[in-house]
Amino acid sequence: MITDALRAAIGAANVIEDAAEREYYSWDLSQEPLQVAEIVVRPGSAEELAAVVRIAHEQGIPVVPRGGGISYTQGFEPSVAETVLIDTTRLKTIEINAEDSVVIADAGVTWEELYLATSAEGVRTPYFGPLSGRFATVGGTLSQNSLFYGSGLYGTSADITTGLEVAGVDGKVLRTGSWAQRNGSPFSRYYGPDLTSLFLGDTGALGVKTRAALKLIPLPMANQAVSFAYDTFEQAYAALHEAAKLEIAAELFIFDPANHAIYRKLGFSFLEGVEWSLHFTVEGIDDAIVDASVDILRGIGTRAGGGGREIDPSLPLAMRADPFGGGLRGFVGSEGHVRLPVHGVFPFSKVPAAQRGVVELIARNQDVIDRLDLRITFLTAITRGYCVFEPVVWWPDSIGPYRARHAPEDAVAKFGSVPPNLEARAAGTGLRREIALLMSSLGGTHLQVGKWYPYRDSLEPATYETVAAVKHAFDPRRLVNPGSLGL
Amino acid sequence: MLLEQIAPDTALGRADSRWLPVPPGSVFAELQKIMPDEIPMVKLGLRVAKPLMPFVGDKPLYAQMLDAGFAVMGVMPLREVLLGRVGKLTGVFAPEPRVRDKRALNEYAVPGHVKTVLAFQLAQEERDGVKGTLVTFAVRIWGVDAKAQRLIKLAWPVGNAFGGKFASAWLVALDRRLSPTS
Repeated sequence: MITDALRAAIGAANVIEDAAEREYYSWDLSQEPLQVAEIVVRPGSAEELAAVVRIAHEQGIPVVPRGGGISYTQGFEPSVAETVLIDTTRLKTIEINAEDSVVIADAGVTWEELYLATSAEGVRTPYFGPLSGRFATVGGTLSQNSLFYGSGLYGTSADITTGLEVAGVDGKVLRTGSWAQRNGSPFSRYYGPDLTSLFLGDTGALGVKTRAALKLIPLPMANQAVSFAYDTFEQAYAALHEAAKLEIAAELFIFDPANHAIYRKLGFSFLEGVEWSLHFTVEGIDDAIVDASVDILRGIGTRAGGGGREIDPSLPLAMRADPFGGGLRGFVGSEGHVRLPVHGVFPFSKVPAAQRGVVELIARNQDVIDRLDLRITFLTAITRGYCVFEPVVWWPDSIGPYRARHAPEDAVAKFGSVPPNLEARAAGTGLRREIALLMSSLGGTHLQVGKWYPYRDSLEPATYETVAAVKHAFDPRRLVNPGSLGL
Repeated sequence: MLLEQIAPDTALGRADSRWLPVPPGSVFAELQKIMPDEIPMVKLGLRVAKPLMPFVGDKPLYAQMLDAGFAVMGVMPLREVLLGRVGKLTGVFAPEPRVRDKRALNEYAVPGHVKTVLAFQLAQEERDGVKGTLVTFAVRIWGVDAKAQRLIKLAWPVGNAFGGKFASAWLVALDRRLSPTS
């Protein structure tokens, strides 16, 4: 019996068979559950995790790795019921090597834990986490790839990775980059072919990450921001585009009127009457450097796109103060709506077309949107060199097991007993899929591909065949997260 | 700390601290939710002298401070957030004039005005084997010109006492929210 073998390997307390717990671990935020895992395991070390993968493989049972659980593209949802789901959140070791500017973090370390540990030593990872970093783990994020804090300067989570440690199906642990040198350490991603890249953004399809090595930079001691108001998205985007090319802002993003309504309730009353707002955060070693960048961005913001009106920059600064605090609150609306993003990653030139396309799609579906009380809001954010355009679809619905456990108490108290609204859910998830197809038709790619975005159908056949061949080389029996990336 | 960078040596001020057995992220999230009725002096004021109070009863105090013209002057993620504003000594919570950032606060020079900065500072600290956060609520106030500075010095004993009560009550409210058994 696999259960006995797993108990022997990692301790009975860390093998979960309770039905409600298995359901909680098996469903993400997408409101589109697949299967419930047969067993959930919680290994406490990389060695225990590797043992779990080996045991499952020996018995021909699929494994699915799960990080913080806060994704929404079915990445960790089991595609078959006979699955061992591996919760990695007990893997918590952090080794900071400030001298070599590298930190090695276990897969289960959250971005908030990593930031607190590194900043206490006067350093930080260049990209330092997603908005959901209170829950999102290093392993999960690298499997999905993500952006936000620091991305305008340093790119995505993948861009700061110098090496990975991955448990293969046979239980062997593979290291990448200079970490694989027999006497080496993970100071560089490159040593021969870049194997690290194979596992970044793989949604856990090629192996189970146990540890990651990430770059470190000195902790920026100065943080400032500058914000602008515009009448139209096009105006705000023109300024965003011009500023993004300079790569001097750490975060660059546009909020829409619906986002402003949320933040006005939190005290940002200066957003009253603002249609579209553009925000830049700048960081550096001292105020003089930061102020110089702010002045450049102020010039762009007040000139580009016909000229914006400078507004109070308190919003991006407040977000930076508590960078990971907005994560889950953002998935439960203040009126009992669930909110789910859907995004496209685009070159700068394609974003206006994507925005227009979504506006037209909304207009075509306005009757259903009004009747079922659906809403769609927009977040546009930059990572170094390109743009993520992310509509967020809202609809009234039950909040599901993950939100019920982790959303702020006031939201759970208010909306925890809202019954399922299957008609609104079907309309909301349908709109999300239509938007995803629209993004794909415009050449958009995706972070956190999971089992939801049309990865296979969007790729040129020769490329997909290569990806499938790589999968076969690592996992010939398709036992590691089957269905992820369509594999 | 950002507070020391922005406030001159001549600023008057105080700091109140409390250790809480929770990580810094939880503190930042919760301190923004404190309601007026969780601060006894504000609760009493709203009951007996509502027209004179700079607060309303149904909105978090932090949000009301932003509404009242305090702007975020600087941050260190999960360590410090600094709010600041300028105003007349008699109208610290009046909505005008507004300054939107640190540089504007530094450059503001209209005679008779005072500058006020409030800092919420968080430091990871372990006590008796329990990981927690030392939360400090600090304030600095100084005059734009000598006359305003003299007025502040005169008013400071009252302001200091009031500020201390207010800060302590805020920290107690935070503690009550984050450690229900305390």
